[in-house]
Amino acid sequence: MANKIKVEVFLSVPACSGGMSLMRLMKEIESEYGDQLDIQVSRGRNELYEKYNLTAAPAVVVGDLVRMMGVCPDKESMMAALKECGLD
Amino acid sequence: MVKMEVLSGDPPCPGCVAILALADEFAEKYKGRLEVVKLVGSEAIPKFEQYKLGCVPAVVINEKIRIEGICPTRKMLESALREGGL
Repeated sequence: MANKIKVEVFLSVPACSGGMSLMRLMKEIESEYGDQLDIQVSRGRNELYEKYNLTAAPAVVVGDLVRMMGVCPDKESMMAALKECGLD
Repeated sequence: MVKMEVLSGDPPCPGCVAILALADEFAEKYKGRLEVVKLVGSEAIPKFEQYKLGCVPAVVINEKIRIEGICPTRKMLESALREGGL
């Protein structure tokens, strides 16, 4: 677990269409790379949302860096962000 | 009076931000003829479940779902309101 890449996903309540697309994408990626990823999903505002100064959902934070905000990335973009953080 | 309920998420996505601004614009434009109800975040959940919506942003006009999962253009929203009797 210690070596896994932390991926934090922030979604709105109720879920927006971009958030639903993002969750579909994350499930696909988890099925392929779940052994290397620690995916944590937050719904609604919380202290982490404030900590990262997020202003829009959906958002993705990889390795404590905000990578995407207010948009659902395509798989290629998400994979690029994950590979920058060490995904094999 | 036509009733337009606008449901959006919190934290907001760009579409939710845009649709709330559009709702304010239309409330002003059709004052006296259009009742606009904005439901954001957890306050939207009861109606979200009542209408069996799948995602936001959403627009419900006279209790009929017209738009779901996108922020419409002004033209599209005008059309939906006309369909709703405005």
